[in-house]
Amino acid sequence: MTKHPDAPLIMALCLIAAALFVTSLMIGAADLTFMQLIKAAFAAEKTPVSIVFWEIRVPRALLGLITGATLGLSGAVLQGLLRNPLAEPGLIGVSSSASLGAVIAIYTGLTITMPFALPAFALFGAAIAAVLLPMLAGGRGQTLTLILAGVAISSIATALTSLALNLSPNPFAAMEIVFWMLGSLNDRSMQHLYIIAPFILIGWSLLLITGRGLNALSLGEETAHTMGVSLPRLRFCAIAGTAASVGAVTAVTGTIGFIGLIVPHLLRKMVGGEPQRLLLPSAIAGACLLTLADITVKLFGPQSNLKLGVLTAIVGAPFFLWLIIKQRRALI
Amino acid sequence: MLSGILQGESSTRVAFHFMYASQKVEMRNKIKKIMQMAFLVGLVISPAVACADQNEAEAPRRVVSMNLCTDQFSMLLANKEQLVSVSRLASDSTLSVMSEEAKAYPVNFGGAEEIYLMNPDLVIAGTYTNQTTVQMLRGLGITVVQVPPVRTISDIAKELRRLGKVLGREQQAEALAQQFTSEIQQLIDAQPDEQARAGVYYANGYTAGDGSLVNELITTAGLQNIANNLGLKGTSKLPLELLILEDPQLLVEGTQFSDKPALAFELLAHPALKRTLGNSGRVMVEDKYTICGLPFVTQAIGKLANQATKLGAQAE
Repeated sequence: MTKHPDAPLIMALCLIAAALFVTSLMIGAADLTFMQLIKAAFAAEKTPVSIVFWEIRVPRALLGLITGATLGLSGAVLQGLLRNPLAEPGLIGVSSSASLGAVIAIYTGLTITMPFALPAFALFGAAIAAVLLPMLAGGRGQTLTLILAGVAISSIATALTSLALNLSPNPFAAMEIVFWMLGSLNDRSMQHLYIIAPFILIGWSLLLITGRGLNALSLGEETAHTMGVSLPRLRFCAIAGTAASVGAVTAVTGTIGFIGLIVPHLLRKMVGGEPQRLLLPSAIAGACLLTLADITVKLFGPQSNLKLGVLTAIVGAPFFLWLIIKQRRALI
Repeated sequence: MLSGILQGESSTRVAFHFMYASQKVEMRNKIKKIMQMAFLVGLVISPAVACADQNEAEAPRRVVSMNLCTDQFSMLLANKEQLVSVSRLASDSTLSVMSEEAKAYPVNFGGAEEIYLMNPDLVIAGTYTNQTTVQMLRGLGITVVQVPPVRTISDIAKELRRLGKVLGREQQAEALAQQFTSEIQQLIDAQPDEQARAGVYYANGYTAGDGSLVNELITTAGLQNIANNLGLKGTSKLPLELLILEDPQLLVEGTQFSDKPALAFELLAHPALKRTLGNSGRVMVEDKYTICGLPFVTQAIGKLANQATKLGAQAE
C-alpha cells in the first residue's frame, strides 16, 4: 500500500489536537495544578477534583473537539459541493434552523421542566431544514438554486427567531435566548454528548464518503457525470451529513461561526487543492481551532462571561480578511 | 422595577443593564416536578435526579446562592456559617440592596465547576439560572432549589417563609415576614385620601402596569398609576404622547446610569417631557429595590409615599 500523501500533515494536526485537548483539560474555573488533576483523575476513589475532571472538564473538551471537527469537515464538504469558497455550514440554513428549534424550546419554557427539550427541538429544526432544502432547490438540485434555497431557509429561520425574541413575554427568557445563540460549551455534560453521538456518527460517515465525488465534481458537473458520479446522491450525502452533524452540535452548543469557513481555506494549499484530501485534515484542524478558542474563553475566566461564538467571530473575521489579502497578493 | 419587567412585553429595557442577571432571576416553580428527560427519535436518556426542597431532618450546612435575588434572601435568612457563597451581582451596589453585606462572602460566577468545589449541600438558584449548569449540578448529586422571581408583595412574605423552611431557619423567616407584613400595613394605613397621579417612565419608554411589582409599590404608596388608566398591563411601552396627555403629577424613574450611557435613556431627556414636568415632580426609585421582590421594597414604597403625601396635601 502506498503511503498516504497527507500522512505527515494529518499526524501533525493530530498531535496539535491532542496537545490542545490536554491543555483544555488543565484549564478551568478552579485553580487546580496539573499533578492534582492527574492524581485525582486516575485515583481509585472519587474526590471532588476527580468529579470536576471527569464530569465537567472532559465532556467540555470532548465536545470542543467534536464540534470543531464537525464544523471543519462540513465546511470542506460544502465548499467542494457548491464549488464556492464562501460556503459554510451556516449557508444551507441548518444552523439557523437548529437555533430556531432551540429558541422555541426556551421561549415556551419547556427547557425549565425538561432540560433536554432544547437539543431535541434544535435537532428537529435542523431536520426540517434538511428536508426543505432539496424540496426548495428542485429535483435537479443546481448548485445555484441550492445556495439560494439555503439562504432563504436561513433568512426565514432568523426572522422567526427575531420574532420570538420580539414577542417574548418574558425579558429573562429573551436574554437567555440571546445568550444561548452566542454559542458556548460551558457546563455541558456527558449526557449532551450521548444525545448527539448517533447524529454525529451518521453525519460524519455521510460527509466522509463524499470525497471521491467531490474530486470528480471539481472538474465540472458534466465531467463528474461522465465519470459515473451520481450528483443527486452526492448532494444527499453532503446535505444530510451536514444537517445531522452540524444540527447536532448546534443543538448543544449554539451557533459557532467561522470555523467551518476558515479551516478549509487554511489547508487547501497544503493538500494540493484536492477536495477529497481536504476532508480529514479540515476535520482535525477544525477540532484544533475550536479547542484553542475554548481554551482562550476559559483563560478569560468565569467573570468575563465571554461566549465562545463571540470569540470565534471576533478572531475569525479579521483572520479571514487577512487570508483574502494574502491570496490576492499571490494572484498578482 | 425590573421585576415589573418580568411580565413585560419586551426585553429591550432589560437588555442593556441586565446582561448578567438574565440567566439568574426567574420564573415558575416546578422544582418537585423537574425530571431530566430526553425524548429524541427513540433515544431515551436515563431519567434522573429529581430534586427536593422537602423539610429535611437537618438544615443544610453549606449553601451556595447563584442568583441576585436568592443571594439577598439567603443573606437575610441564613446564619453566617451556613451561607458559603453568593453570586457576584450581590455586591453590585446598583443592583443589590445588600451589596455591603455581600462583600463578606466569597463570590461565585455561576459555573458548575467552581460551585461543585465549594462542596455545597444546597444550591439556591433562580428558575432562569443557566439550565445546563443547574442540570450539571443536579447530575453531580447536589440539591438545587430554584426560586421563581417574586412579583407581588404578598409573595415576598411567602417566599421568605418557604426559603426559611428550606434553610432550616423558620424562626428568622417568620420574624422577618411578620415585620414586613406589619410595615406594609402601616404604609397602607398612612395612604393619603387624595390619590395623586403617578407615571412610571423607564428607559426606552417603558412603564409598569397592572401585574408588575412596581405597580403594586405605587398603589401601596397611595398613588394612582396612570398605566392603569391607560389599561397597560405588565411592563409595556408607554408612548411619550400618551404620557404627556395623562399629565402625571409625579414621574417615577429608575436608576440612571450616567457612567454607562445608552440610547435607551435619551427619551427621558425629551424636551416635551421636560416641559410637562414643569408642574409636576420626579422621584427616582432605584432599580435595586425593584429588581427582586425583597422585604426592602418597603423603602421604595416609603419614598413614593412621601411624595404621595406631599401631593395629597397640595391638592387639599
